[in-house]
Amino acid sequence: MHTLEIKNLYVKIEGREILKGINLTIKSGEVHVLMGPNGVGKSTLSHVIMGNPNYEVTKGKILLDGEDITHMAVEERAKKGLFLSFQTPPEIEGLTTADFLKASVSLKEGEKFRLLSFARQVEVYMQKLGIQKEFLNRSFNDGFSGGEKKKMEILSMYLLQPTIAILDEIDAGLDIDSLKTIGEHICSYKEQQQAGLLFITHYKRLLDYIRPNFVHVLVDGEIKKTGDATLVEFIEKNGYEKFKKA
Amino acid sequence: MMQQKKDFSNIIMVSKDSIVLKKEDGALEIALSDKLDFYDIVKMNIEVLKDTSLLICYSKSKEIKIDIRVTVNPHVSFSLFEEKKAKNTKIQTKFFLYENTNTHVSKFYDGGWTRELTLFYLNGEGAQIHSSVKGIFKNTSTLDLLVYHHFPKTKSQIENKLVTIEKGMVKLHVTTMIYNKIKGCVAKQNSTIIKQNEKESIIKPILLIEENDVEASHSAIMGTVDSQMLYYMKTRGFTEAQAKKLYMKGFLKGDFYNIDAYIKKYWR
Repeated sequence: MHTLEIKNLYVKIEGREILKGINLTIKSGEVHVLMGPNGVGKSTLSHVIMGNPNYEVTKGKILLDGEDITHMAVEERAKKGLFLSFQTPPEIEGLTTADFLKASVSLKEGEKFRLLSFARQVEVYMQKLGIQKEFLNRSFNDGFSGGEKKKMEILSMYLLQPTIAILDEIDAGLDIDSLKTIGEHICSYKEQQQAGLLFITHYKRLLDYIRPNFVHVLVDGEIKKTGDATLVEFIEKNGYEKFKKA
Repeated sequence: MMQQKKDFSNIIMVSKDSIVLKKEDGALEIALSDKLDFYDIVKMNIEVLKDTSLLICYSKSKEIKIDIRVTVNPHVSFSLFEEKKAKNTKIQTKFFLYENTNTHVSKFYDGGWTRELTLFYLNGEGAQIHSSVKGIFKNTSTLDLLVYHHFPKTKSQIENKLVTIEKGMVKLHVTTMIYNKIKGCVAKQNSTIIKQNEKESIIKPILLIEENDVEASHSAIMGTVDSQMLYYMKTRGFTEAQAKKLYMKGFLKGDFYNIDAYIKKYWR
């Protein structure tokens, strides 16, 4: 059982306060959804959890399995099992997808890394996600469509096997078929690994494949409401106006 | 550090004291002059008669001065690869590219001091040049590349990807010229210098075009490794040093030299 706890978290960027006292606990096997209007701090929260040095934590704590990781280096958090899928993953020209994935998995597994078993795993997951083999020899994310980049993020998640994964708008820019594929595979990953998931999204559509345990509404840097899946229906119908006034 | 996977039809080894033809396929005519007394420069004429490839390896000699003239005959495809390990080089290379020739030039520099002038004369309709220069520079170096589109429908694509380390500083000048009435040409330049030190490098991308009927573009980028990219790589578990090493591997990768050995040498 793994637990990520965010306690009374305040965050600033360039002197401006973005997050104002966030409290959130994500446990293994739980699916959390974070929703809210544009620019309220949803992505900021995901990057702060991951340790992006551009953000300043002014108050509060982030704990992973009871250990304070608030000021821990990004790579250390990754090694401890945190994963963030990016809204817009960068392109790394010249570095092949195969080389990038191999390097990141071999780093995680250390001496236990076996190339053959890695290659088999990659093949299986790529087939599942509907990614063509040719992508392995192409530069990482270079010239990939939005949907292909998102699938690469899920492939990375499968290979790195995080215990807590934050998926920042993983559903943005996906066609219906890709959305179904990604939705089903995130669900299967969660079942297999009993991982804790935090989805940041604007839409209900991905939640047709993954039933959330908790839905949080973030407005003006604060979680204004936490509820179950029915809260998504309410937001779809009524928007965020009610929470802005709250 | 030469990668043996690629098969070259011709190989020339150049050092301070000798130029040795290690392998040949009869598609090249090579003529060497004696060293000139005063300037100590060797002249080498290469005529490309048939489709072929050539690797020139500059050994770890202290000082190499060479003046090369390459003529590619009409309708011939030619690939030239150069791996430069010499500590100190002065090289001038002139390419004369005739009708419907297709020439690829790939160079890799291993840290040494160099002063180099490369001229491409596109002297026949449909002649094409694709030049790719990569390298690690730890000393002050100057690279001048000039492309002359003398005939219509000629194409040039010049790509430079350089990294400066330690005391390295590069002055990179890329100039493309297309004269009036030379129609239907394509001219592209892309240059990037990644600085791993505080030294100031220079890129001067120049397009001198008198004709309207051309397709031309240029880009010049200079800076350090993108911080967002480093952050992304860290979220996958890489330390900053490991991320930079991996990024450099991709940036400098080529198909005729062993990039892993160079990465190991410069980014331990």
